[in-house]
Amino acid sequence: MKLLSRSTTLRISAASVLALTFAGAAVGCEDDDHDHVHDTTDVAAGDAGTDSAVPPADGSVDGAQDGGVLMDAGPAPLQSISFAGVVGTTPFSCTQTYAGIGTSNASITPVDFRLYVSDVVLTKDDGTKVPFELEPDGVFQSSKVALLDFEDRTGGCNNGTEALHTKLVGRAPAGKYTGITFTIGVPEALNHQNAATAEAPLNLSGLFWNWQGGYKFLRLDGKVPSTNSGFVMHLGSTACTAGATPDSYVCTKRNASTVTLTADPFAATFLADWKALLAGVAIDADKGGMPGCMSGDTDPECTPMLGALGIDVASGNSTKPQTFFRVSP
Amino acid sequence: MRATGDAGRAAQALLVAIGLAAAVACGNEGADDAPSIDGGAETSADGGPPPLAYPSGFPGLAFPATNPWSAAKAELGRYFFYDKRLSANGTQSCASCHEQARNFTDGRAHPLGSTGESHRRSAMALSNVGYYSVLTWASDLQDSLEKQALLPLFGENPVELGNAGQEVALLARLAAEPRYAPLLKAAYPDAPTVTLPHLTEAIATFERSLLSGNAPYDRFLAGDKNALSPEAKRGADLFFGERAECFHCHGGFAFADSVTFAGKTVRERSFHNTGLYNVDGKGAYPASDVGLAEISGNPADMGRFRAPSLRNVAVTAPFMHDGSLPTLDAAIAHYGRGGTLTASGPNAGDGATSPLKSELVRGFSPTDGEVANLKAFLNALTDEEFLKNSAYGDPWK
Repeated sequence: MKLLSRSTTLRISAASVLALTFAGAAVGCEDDDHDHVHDTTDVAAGDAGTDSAVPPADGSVDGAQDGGVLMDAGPAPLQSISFAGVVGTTPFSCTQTYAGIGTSNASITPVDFRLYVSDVVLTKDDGTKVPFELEPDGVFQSSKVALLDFEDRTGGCNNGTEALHTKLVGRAPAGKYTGITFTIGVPEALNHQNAATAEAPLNLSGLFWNWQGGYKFLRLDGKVPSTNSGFVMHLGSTACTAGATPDSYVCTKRNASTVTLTADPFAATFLADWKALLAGVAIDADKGGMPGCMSGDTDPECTPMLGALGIDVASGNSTKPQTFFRVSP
Repeated sequence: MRATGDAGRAAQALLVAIGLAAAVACGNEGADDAPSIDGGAETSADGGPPPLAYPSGFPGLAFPATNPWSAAKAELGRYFFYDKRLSANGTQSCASCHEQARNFTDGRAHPLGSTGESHRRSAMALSNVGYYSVLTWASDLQDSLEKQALLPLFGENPVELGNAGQEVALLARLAAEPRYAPLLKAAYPDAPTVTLPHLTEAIATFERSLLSGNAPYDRFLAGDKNALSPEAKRGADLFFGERAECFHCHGGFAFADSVTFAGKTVRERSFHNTGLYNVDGKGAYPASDVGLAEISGNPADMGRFRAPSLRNVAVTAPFMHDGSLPTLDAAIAHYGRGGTLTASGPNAGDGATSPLKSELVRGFSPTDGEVANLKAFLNALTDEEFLKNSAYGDPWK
């Protein structure tokens, strides 16, 4: 919360309130709503009342206060890892139409661009790996999963949210880091809960994927002006069956993408590129199924689009290097 | 998780199995899922749903721990269910596709969403929907009414109520309607404003209150030997016999097989390929809807759909997941033949020879008289009181 810039803090107010009301009602029947309303109201006050700028990467004092407990060593400082949406070399914007996309060099206008990130691991300069502990903010990050949100509800993205979230905020031990690995996906243990009562950021209806009993891990939606048709990437787990108890799902095609990038995560900006994701498809000539790929293994567009995410369409496993993310030059 | 019970619950399940269902409803359940038969002290705001009273022979509902029964919640849910504010463009409510007089279906093969998109599947009936272990036509994953409600609210393929990404506006529309304040206070005394969980929980609770068990056949079972015509009695014999095999999937108090209730310790859910299609000689259904296989990814699930309840079936035409059978006669002909023959067109093929067809759908070549008897029996499953009960009707009128 304390790391949000002034403008971001102002813009998230509606989403924040919504998230809080969801949290307040996610109460078991033994509990009385009242206590939880109090809990969440406190969070709301924290959100609304703070609009300091992003601190320096070594802002350890701020981090200690946020943690709420002052220990001898103190928690590691809060740091942030920067991301940006791009279309080729052009910054992503919901108000622009981008030419030269895919195998037919067609144009596309964005409608949505959001993805869930989890299991963030950093590589130290000695080769060891340490987890990057996400800092819950009640809106975009829980301790388990973060939403990277590159759309701002302008232009064609009119079912999105105003707020952007293009940094992962969290803690890692002091040291020199040379790389990052993360998953595009919602952790399996959180992927099949009741979305109406889920904790932020898993409470955004635009990312619900109810017919598959989970979430869209990546939603990259566009409209192709030349065909007046949509063209989308909805990444999520498929081939799911339920077990002996409610909520016990097994999805044999996980369809999560493992991304590994080599750069100092606290110095670099990591780019998520529409052009790279769509490089292998003709976005103006759908070959079958939904226009684009909704993670189905029989949709012809899924092979190249999941391929750009390093996912093997037959197994749903992340088996190859992905090309969607890269390090900013 | 709630299905893994202790010995006491297993014993209760056994009681149900041998027909002493009422004993369960009164049983010593945990407070979370004990069905409240009399509704207790909870009263609705303005004479809405009556206290939950189970029809004779019905077991108690298995309420989720997070959403126990309350009449006030059911009444709030009734207002939501009939409120066109639930659609982003204000044109549709749940009731737009779920009309009480049609057993909460809409008479269409392909319902139209709020923006005019056509649904590939027909609207499912909602009587006794609280007893289904899984919901929708073909998904093993839709295991609660609370979660299922998110599909029509936020689904995008197709758009139904059209609220994807617009939940703030949806809740603001509801908050602006003054009639909700007392209803919300009665259902959720400490809630300052309506939230999405209130919406899904209340709608689910209203849906669980939709109990239908007073058809002529029920009155016959209760001892009124004149409640069924001689034709209907002969139809019942055929329906429950090993020749027609109807009851295997459409059996029990719910006339359905994916059913759960309080005290049941095993999670049952069933899906069946009934030989409606066979477009490739290997049992394939049209690619637009392959049933459970779409969710499970298992080719053996091709064409498997959940058997809907046959209560009030006479008012729910057209039939099957895609509404392709327009009348009861057509539905009986399908099962009588043991599958549908599509003579021409893109879906041409003989479902009767599908290798994926359920072994129970083998055809029984009914005579004209037997068809008439079956129809008489199916018509005796219509609970007129349920279809007209104002407690389930539109409270905004």
